[in-house]
Amino acid sequence: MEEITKNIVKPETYLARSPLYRVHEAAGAHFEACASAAQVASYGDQSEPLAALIDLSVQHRFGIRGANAIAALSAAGLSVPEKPNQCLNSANGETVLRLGKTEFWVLGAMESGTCSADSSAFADCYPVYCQDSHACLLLSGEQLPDIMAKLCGVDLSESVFPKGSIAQTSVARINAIISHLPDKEGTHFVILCDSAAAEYLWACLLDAMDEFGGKAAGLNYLF
Amino acid sequence: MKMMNCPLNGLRNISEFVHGGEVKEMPDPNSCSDKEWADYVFFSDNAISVVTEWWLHAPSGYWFIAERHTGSDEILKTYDPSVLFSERVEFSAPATEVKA
Amino acid sequence: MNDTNMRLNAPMGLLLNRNEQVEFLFEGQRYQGYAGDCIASALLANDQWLMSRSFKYHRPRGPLTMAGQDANTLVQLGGDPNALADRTAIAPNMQIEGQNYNGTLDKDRDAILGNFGRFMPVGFYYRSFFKPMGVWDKWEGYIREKAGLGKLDLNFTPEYYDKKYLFTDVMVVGSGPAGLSAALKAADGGAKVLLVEEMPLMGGALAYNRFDIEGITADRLRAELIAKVEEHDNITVMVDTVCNAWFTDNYLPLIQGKRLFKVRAKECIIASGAYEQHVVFRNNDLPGVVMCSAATRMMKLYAIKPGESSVVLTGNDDGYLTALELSDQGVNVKAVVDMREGVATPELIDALSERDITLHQGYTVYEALAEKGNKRIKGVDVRKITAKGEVGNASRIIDCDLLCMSAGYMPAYQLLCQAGAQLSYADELAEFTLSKLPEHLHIAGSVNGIHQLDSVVADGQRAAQLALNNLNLSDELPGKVSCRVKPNFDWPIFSHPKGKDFVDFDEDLQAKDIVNATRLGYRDVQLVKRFSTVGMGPSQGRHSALPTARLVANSTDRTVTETGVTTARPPFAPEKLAHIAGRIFDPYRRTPMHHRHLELGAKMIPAGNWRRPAFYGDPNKRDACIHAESVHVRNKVGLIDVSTLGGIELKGPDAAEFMNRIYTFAFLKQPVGKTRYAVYTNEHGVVIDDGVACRIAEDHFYVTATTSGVDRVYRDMTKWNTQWRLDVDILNVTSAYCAVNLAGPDARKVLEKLVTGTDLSTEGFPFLAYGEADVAGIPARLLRVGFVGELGYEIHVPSRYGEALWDLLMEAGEAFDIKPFGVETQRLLRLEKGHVIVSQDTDGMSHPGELSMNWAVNRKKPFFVGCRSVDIVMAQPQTRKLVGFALPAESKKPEEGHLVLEGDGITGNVTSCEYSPAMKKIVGLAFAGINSSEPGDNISIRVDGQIVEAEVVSLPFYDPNNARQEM
Repeated sequence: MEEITKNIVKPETYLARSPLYRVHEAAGAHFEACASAAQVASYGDQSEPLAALIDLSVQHRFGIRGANAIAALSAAGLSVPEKPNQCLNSANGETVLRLGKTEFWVLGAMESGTCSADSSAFADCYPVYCQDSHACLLLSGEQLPDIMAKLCGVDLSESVFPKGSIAQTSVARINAIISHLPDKEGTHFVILCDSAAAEYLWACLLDAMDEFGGKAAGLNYLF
Repeated sequence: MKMMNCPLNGLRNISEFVHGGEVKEMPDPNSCSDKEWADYVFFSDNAISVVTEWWLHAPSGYWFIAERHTGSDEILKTYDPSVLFSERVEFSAPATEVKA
Repeated sequence: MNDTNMRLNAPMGLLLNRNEQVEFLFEGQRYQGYAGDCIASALLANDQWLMSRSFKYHRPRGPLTMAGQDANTLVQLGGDPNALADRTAIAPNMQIEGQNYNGTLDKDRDAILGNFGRFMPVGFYYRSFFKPMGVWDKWEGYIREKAGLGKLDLNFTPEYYDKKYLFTDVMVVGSGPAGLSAALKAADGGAKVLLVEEMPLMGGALAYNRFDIEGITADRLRAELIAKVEEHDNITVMVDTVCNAWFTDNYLPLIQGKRLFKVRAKECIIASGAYEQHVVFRNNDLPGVVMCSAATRMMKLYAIKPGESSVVLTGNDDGYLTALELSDQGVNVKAVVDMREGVATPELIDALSERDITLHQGYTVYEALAEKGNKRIKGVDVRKITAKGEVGNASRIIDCDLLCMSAGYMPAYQLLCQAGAQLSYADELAEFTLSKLPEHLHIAGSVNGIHQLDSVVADGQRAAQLALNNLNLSDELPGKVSCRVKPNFDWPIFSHPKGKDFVDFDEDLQAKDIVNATRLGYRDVQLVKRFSTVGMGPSQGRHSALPTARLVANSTDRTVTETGVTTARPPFAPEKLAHIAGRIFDPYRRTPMHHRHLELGAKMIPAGNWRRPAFYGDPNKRDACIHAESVHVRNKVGLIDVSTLGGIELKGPDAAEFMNRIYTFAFLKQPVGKTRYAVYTNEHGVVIDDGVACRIAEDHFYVTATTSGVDRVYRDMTKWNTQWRLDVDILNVTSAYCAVNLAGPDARKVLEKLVTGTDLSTEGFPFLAYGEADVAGIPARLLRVGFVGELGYEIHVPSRYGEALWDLLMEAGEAFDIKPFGVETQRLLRLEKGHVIVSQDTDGMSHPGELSMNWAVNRKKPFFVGCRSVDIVMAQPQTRKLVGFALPAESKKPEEGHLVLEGDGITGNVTSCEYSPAMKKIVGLAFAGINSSEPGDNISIRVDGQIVEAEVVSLPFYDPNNARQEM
């Protein structure tokens, strides 16, 4: 299946599927092959919304933790954020999230959707299966702190939640990890939530975005 | 709604936390009397004073310790449990016969 | 009707847009107002003073405060009852009705109730309708018909309400002179400020009150402060917004339109102002009797001329200024009646005489005289005050159609008292004051007893300085602010032998009602409230609290401080349940196969926050569907989604040691590649969860937990290891893995079509084996389990592959007639095998012995959670036991929860019971007394009142040798 080029594809062609793919299909989204699965490329041909919600669940990510995690990341050429609840980009485009003293999640570069390694490459660390336990949503555009304030009790405005910050908190009454992506023009929040609750949170976010002109979108919104 | 300072995540709504009971020292289950064990499991002083409690920040799964005054409900400080628990705990083999 | 001729000229009418006319309906009649009008002002402009009827006596009522602080003008807006006419803006074609009348607002048949007032004393309902026994049932219908405010539309269409957080350094409640200056000072100091105003415009009293003889200061100061606030980058202003409560740590709900804002403020300044107080005299509730501030609001905010000829009754200098304002706007002020003697500022007295306004000092209005039907004031009876609350006999009648009154002020203390502030009465000032505020909460302006305008501004700045210091933005000492004005008259209460001297307009309570309550023994103000209902109405004591405190203090020989006021609780103003509910967040979880279940016609049921298929097929044929599915699993092959099962992974050198400490069984020597039953007891020795432990490697376990129990088990595990410090990593993988159980005699044949490179034979992969396999390209964990009692494989895969796995299995199983089965069918199948479901077949007392799980408890190891409690309870004589019972198919079927009896005593209850198609009888589990818990004993089960005798049988019911699951 690796041979399939970046053409319009169907999610059910692949063994790995986003927990949200049916929602996208029902809304008329177009998919492209990405990381051995179908990634939403665009959400119909609507005009560019002020804020966009993009499902990145099929893109690769992995987690490691344990006493050796910091050394292992450095050895693999990945950045290590200085403190818990910070995120940092690596040279190859991956984003490293530091969630605890010794817990790190690595998000694949957004354009390719892939990581340079996975947790099995870190034999002396404990794996965290965040590819499957969590859905990965990207909120991008204008007024993101206002949108999130309808769902979340933590202040996410730029002055107190600058680029590179992470908040592990409750969003619409479910646990979520919100990362303010570093080194990117504009505001981008990556929201990682329980994959089983992805459809629920997706609907909550769309509802919250509506008054700010926010809509569902695909990866084409970014590139 | 009350707020609490999580040592890992900072000041958060109390609804993000789960109470884990008072920090109590477990008597040796293999040598203590039934009464000592029952006291440990069932009884709490419930005094108006500063109590040391377990709290969990649910979104990050992080357990920590809080010192709270039961009269004013003021949370005086919170800290990582390694302050109190730094060494590996072992349990002795059970006595052949446990006497109450 | 057209109102244009009745309005005052600009700049009166701050809120009006005179270019936009708005038509609306009141009581079916069409009226016109301007955009910006509230309902009350638009009606007043059409000379419609009667807006509602009172609660108890159905007295005609009109505006009292013009600020939403009273219940006099509650109206019905379509299906929305109790809208405040003096706060609700008119909208095109709005349909408005009065409330609380029988017939029409104008001709209320129940107005006659007022004449029976003396037969309906305070506590009338409590005292009249409880004897003789049963009489309440006869009266209730009638009283309910008469009681209540407004009408609810039960066929309403739900509307969209939601909530939002707001975060700020400083929140200021109230945008009067104190609030504006506090906001400016805080913002200048570098703080982010949120300024909240209940009214549609900023300025508070500056917008309507007159502060000087010339009438220029207020406008000038207001314009100056507002201009600065509006151009300040650090200040956000919200008007038409009510701060409805104070909760711990400055958590402040604001209501604006259909949204509830949840504010988190580091510092909060309450500049909520004060409520002008009425004077208690006969007929003080007539339409046309208003607060001084109501008259000025009518003029300045809405350009309404409140009357043609007016009397002003006052206990302070503010009444003089009101008289000047009325006079300037063309109202014939016939007299100012000052209850004080020789206290008024001389310049004010001069200003009155310049306008030829008569002044009576040391006098009061003893009675307001009414037009026929009490629909409007037509004059006042003015008398000299001879002693506290007493007047002389000489009466002077003054004709007027307006009476403005001011007995002083009551601080708007509600939010502060909710925060724990103390309210005490300063006798020399005749005023309540607030003290003992919590940290990070400040008070400024007239709510703080500061009334002089320059002092009010200074007080706002002082409060802001305290906030800035707390925020570490400054360290200056705040200045001291004092006030030399005494605006409250000590005893503005003049009881009349004929009553109708209202203390509480909401509840039609007169002075004697309060006094009588104390005479009946209700001396505590809280009891007076509950007995008389004073302060219980929509205005929540904004006007009744002060006179009630004074009356109760006076008649119980205590100070007003000792008497106090009743507790102020949220909400400050009425709020809709819709505001509290907001957009309802009701999280749900779906397995990766969820949509396949829907396509297959599953009847979905909740399981915690998951949804699971109960069975597939006609939802009305539950039993038939379940029986068919169970027979299919027993004879062919079925597939069930068990993704909701909890999963916890333990990895590290101490993984086995940790397992050994958590679960009751022994795990140190569990072989790699094998599964083992795992029971978890809490420290009380009660079984609270179970699962299957797979040993993946020496240092790696994968253990399942129940759907509802996994979060608890995972939390307990991490908490224990925080103390034990073992070298093990604990990971909740519930959502990371999804799983199916492929079960039935043909299960192996189906799986063999998809699995390559793994020997699935009985020898190669026996019962209780664990292994990893490639299932048509999907990496899977295989568990040979026997929960339903047939040859079966639990297949756990990363959840991204869940739906593909389901599809592959259904496709591979087609040749074997594979069918999906639901969780209800699974429950039946496991019941036939006698397997316990923890929390269904166990309760908060069940120890392992009662569940015959002694075999799963290892007491040779040093420790497991609950080990000592298990020892203690199991050393005691056992009183009950979970047993299997059977009944003939045609017997009455017991249900879960039905009691098991021994004579008159209860020994237990049924925990599970179903008709078993495999056994062709009813089978179940129940707690039985220990003396009747052996196979062959009988237990008596009470089924819907009838006793059914069931036989205790040995478990499992089905396939006792377990041959089928071990195939």
